[in-house]
Amino acid sequence: MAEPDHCFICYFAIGLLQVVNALVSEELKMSLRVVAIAIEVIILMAMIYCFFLGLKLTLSDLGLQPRYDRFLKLVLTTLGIFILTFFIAHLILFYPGIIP
Amino acid sequence: MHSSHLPFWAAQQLVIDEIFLPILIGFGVIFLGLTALFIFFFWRTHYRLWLLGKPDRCSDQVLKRLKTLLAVTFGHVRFWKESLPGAMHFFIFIGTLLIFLGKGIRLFSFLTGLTIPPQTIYLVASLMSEIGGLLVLLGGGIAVVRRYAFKPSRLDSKPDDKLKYVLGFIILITGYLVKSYRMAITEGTLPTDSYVWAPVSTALTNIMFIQTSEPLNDLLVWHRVLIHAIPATILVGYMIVSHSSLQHLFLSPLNIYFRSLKQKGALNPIPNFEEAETYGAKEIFELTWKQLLDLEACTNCGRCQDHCPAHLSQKPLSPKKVIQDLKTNLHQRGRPLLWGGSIQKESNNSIPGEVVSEDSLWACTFCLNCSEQCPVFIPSYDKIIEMRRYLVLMEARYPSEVREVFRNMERKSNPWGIEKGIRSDWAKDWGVKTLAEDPEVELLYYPGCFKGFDDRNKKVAISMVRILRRVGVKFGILGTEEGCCGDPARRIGNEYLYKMLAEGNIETMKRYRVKKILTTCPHCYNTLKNEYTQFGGNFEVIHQTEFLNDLIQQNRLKMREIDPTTVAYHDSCYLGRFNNIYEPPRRILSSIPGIQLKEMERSHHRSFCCGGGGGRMWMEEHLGKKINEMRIDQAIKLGVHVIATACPYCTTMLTDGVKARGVEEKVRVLDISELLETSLADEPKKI
Amino acid sequence: MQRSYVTIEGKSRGYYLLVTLLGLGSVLLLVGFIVSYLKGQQVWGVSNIIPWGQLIIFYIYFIGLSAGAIIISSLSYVLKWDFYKPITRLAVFMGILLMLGAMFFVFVDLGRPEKFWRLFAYYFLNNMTSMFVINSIFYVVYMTLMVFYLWLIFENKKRWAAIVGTLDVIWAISVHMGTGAIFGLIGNREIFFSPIKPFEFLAAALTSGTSLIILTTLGTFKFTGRNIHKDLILSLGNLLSWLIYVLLVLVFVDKMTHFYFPGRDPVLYLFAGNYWWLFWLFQIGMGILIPLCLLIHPRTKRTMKGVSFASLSVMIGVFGERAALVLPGTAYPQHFFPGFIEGMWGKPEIFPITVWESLLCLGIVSYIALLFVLGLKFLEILPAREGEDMAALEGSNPLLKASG
Repeated sequence: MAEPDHCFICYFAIGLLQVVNALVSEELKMSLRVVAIAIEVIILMAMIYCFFLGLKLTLSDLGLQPRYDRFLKLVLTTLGIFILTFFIAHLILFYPGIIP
Repeated sequence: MHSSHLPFWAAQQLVIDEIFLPILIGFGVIFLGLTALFIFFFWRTHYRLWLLGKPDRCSDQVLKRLKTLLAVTFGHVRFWKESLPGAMHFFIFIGTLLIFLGKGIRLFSFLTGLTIPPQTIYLVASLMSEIGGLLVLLGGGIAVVRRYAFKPSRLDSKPDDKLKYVLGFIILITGYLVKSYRMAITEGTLPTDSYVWAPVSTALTNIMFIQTSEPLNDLLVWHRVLIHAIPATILVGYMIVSHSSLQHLFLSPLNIYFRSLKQKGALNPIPNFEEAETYGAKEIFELTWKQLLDLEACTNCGRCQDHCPAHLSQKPLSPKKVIQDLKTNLHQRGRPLLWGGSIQKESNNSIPGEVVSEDSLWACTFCLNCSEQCPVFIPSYDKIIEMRRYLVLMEARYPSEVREVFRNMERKSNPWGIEKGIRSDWAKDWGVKTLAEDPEVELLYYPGCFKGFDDRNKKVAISMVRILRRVGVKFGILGTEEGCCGDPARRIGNEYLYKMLAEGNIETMKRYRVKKILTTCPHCYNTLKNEYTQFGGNFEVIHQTEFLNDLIQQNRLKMREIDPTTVAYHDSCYLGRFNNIYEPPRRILSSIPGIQLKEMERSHHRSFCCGGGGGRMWMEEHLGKKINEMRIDQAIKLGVHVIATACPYCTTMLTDGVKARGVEEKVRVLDISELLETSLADEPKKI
Repeated sequence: MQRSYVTIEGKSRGYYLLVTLLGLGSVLLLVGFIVSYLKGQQVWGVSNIIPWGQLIIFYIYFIGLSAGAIIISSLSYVLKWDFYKPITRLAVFMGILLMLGAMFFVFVDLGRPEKFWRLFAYYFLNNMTSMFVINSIFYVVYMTLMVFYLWLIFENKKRWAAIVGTLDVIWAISVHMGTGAIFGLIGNREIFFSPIKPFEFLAAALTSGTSLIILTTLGTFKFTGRNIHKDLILSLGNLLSWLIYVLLVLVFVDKMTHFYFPGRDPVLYLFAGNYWWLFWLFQIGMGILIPLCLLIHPRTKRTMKGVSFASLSVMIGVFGERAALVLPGTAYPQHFFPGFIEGMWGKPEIFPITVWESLLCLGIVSYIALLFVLGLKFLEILPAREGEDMAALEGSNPLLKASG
């Protein structure tokens, strides 16, 4: 951890975290892990959403007729669901344990 | 060997070799790739498209152009006209600039030796990025809340907007995460890893509780780097390839640089009028390349729409929609170019009427409020006039009431069709001489059609004559040789008629060797000063407000106190926005003892049009609310006794508005010269 | 005659029910994936003796179906037999979806799908003798060509569609022969090892692809109330019969040559080992003999029912053929490298059918079928319903002529 640099806020934060660490149970650490995984999944899915949306918009700009839009949206949505499933499985398996 | 087990500088070198250098190399490769992609797509999707437009000269006066570009880019000069959107954009811009500067300095610090030992500039660069990120988050947060929670009417959100906000936030958040993870695994051994130089990342390191056994730490850092680098690359790639609003990053500065430096509101003549086969613009490629660039530079912000009197009075016109619809048409027509094809120059799709509705085109009052508010200097009026010209000159499609006006102007040299022989009858009772009778004068007084034929406005001409006599200026008028200045014809789109009238007037004026012209009508003022030069008429033209203000400053007019009167000055568009004459009329009014000057909410550059410009004086208002009545409502809200004007169009329109609202007892409309003249009387006159 | 293509309304109860069922089936894929990912490949039937299981069987099956569908689609745009135009879009669309499905099977079979990028990052250009690398190039280009081909058809760019279609057909041949080569070049798996394998794969692809087109056309046209001209199906049935002949010859030659050097034990294992029934009942019986009988016999060859049953038999039979390659092929003990497999995981020579592996396969098949059904609703795949008179088309049916 970085040196506090005599900063009041960080002394307070470190102290708080030490107290939390002493009090917190394994179960709470596990649920914190779930929260961390959820945040990670949200960030990753937001990226995928942007990537797919960008792809769709770019294809439209390059000349893809609007009549293909609905099917394209469908395919990308289903692929997104698969990617979401993958992220959940991957992070459950590989996300490191929590040490507050 | 982990960095924590090594001496300080060796640890730093290890971090640089293992983490920094690969990032630098990766960045270099990606940067080159994106640059090549940018150049290719810019040429293919933009440059070639603009070249299909007609030629235009927009690259003179380099220094002046650069100055404006820098002022707008770094000073955000037009953005601050509205404080919240202005602040929001400023934060985003400055924040992004700081991030890039900070990253750039640190990225290249290895090559330039700025890291070993860490120089102050390196430490400051770290702080710059952190503060920059916070600013962008703040600006972005304001933008998102404004757009999606408050939903101002001028913003129509597209999927592209969602994408740029979400991706922007992800890039920022993951950027901080990368740094805080890196700091966590190097255990804060780098000099920048402190609250002083990296406050946000350091705080995040303490709060983020995702570290465990050593073997996973480095892997996690690489994961974080990828999660940061990939969206950043996607965003830049998307911006380059797609017609995203993000492209304003390079299109808007180009547009600001190449903006027209000609006088605002001076319309361009039709080149080679006699030999030209077509007039105006039917196809999108009949606009100039600069006009096509305008279309692409529009960021859909809607400031123009929020100030357009036609839009605010619920007419079908929205300057934003005009530009966006033309842009869509440009992209559709230009698509074959993308795939190595060529564009069919002729198509069944004509822009006036089909892409932009005729009702929209005729609703424009040419008040220039749209281009005045536009942060990137996009005029929509020049496209509208080209479309009007096409409709008028090629298809004779215009509002039926205008037909008579054209005929009257052509035959009787005035829009009402009154015999031109009586044009200067008002002057006979005052002994005003024509130039034919006495050509040796200091200036030509050019009253214009309103003063010549409209009873209400004749009083203004008479006031002006009395003032001129009072100060002993020798002047003359053209009398029946005076022709209509042609402004209504030009604004409606009948360039042929305008040319005929202008050339007639210029010939007459040159014959009398006129050097200086005084006019009381801003429409005449604008066209005589800024547009007659296109046909060889170079005269010194002054408006009555400039002239009277000069007289007052020279103490040549002595005012007496009048009854206490609250007055609001209504800025004429052709005087104010067109010619930047805002202060002289106000100084005149302020110098009249007894007058308390109040400002309407929409004044100066934001002034609300009376609805008479753009030829609309001669057209019926079938759609929406009446613009002049809306302006009267604004004045009533202010609670003034008098609305002062300096334009016969404004006087006429606002007087009609007062009558329509039935408030003749509460508020009167008076010309400035009339107000001034009452205070110049030997006895104070009641208003 | 300018034909118009339309979307289906897709508002009937039957349609919604179908979509719901397929959707639920696709959910099984997600469930199966999560369990497989978290628990590992031990929950599948694969072992260190039989490393390729249901997923690989489906993968090669689907690639075959895809290549076959594309080759059938070439009848109209490439060979310019307008008679087959009504089913071209359907065939190309199916080709794309089946290829997508094949890729899904491969991805999932990796165990850690996120590592797919390593093939392109590390092995491309570094290990070009690997059939996987060569095939990955084939597959990527194939997918791109197919999507481009379908787009050109949708945009009515006939000339370009013909050019790209021709390229696509040639590439489809390469794709499936390449997949066959994956197996055919593995020297230590004697049941795989054969230079004829690519051709055998291609023949099986053509038969199964044609059968799938026949069945899908019948099913889709019937379900959407469209008239299907009998001659179209009968001509495809005729084509199918010739393709089965070719397949028979190739299978025969392949197996015969395996009776010779280096030894006949592996082929005898195939014929009489644990999985004899896959070869005899499915590959030979349902894949070749039964359909040939149906397509030769005068009473059945000129009936839609006869052709449909033959097609169904081929579909099942070719699936069995794929399984008959993968399972006995890998189950047969390897002689060339004794002692290199340290211990056995699972029962030797037995491939158990496990729940999770089956769910994954069912899920992927459901997803592809779902995309197909939704594609009918959102894309203009099927010809317009009313007044379609096949007899009014220019040119006669060349395939029926050949059969006499």
